[in-house]
Amino acid sequence: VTEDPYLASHLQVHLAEAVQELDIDIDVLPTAVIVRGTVATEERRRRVLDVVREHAGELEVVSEMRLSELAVQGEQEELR
Amino acid sequence: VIRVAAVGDLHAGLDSKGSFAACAEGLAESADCLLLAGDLTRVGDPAEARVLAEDLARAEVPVVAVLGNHDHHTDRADQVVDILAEVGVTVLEGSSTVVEVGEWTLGIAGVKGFGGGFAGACATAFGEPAMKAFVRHTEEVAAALERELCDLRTDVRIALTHYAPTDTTLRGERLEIYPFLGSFLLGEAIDRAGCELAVHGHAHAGCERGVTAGGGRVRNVAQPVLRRGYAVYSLTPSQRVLPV
Repeated sequence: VTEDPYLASHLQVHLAEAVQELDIDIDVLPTAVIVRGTVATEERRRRVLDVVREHAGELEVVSEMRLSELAVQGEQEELR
Repeated sequence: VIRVAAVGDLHAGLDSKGSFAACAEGLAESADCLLLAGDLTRVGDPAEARVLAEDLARAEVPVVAVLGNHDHHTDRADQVVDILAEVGVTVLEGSSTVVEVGEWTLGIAGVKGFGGGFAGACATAFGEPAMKAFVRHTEEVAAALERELCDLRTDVRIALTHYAPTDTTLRGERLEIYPFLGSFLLGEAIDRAGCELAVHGHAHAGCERGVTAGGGRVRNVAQPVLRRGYAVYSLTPSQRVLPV
């Protein structure tokens, strides 16, 4: 459960405005901010964490983010 | 059989040059056309559109797109449309196009769509002007989608939107944001007009397969949902679903 929902919400707003990532989950714990979500590149992950650190004050920023892995193409679906 | 490739939410940025090139190059082997379900760019910057356009220029099949909310962020959607048009991409908004596939015709009606929510938890045009404007925008784009679908006289018809026409492809998303992900009005328009397939994006944490309230097939092709370059759906022209 997020300890500080206002900070969690403000961090999500900062992420939308600064790096246009709208699908990052933020949990604010007593001593840390947990950042979860999937982004396309390592550079995007670094930028997300930079934004969170900039606005998280003294809280430790813990990344549980993942990089997306895409196959070129999967199975064709036949619609009957 | 008509083979339709579809993907949404590519979110091209200045650092994603070439990221869709491999998909575009091999497309003609597996599909007859490519549908792009919005959020083609991160913020609608024309430079981002050029990055994607360079990749899409490699596609040897017709490419039809709608824009998404991200493509409107910097208020330069017209420029994004023009840049994509330069490489042959048809961008729909309250409009439709016909693609010829051998002896068959494929009609695609497209709108970005908008939010508002679904049965039991939807916004209404009541109260403040801002609330009414929000709902009326969805009503207008849904009406445009229905009109365009009804006007198509093709062997197969597809509804292409960015926002979802059903909540059945939103499973996996947080319930709290459903009203920002789509609207029942889009689904109602699709069910009234009838079509073989509805394709949307926007819901990154949703699921691929769903149906409208009237039983129409819906596919959420947001790339984070597909986890592949694009999906391919094959449709047999005789399978038209009659309007409800």
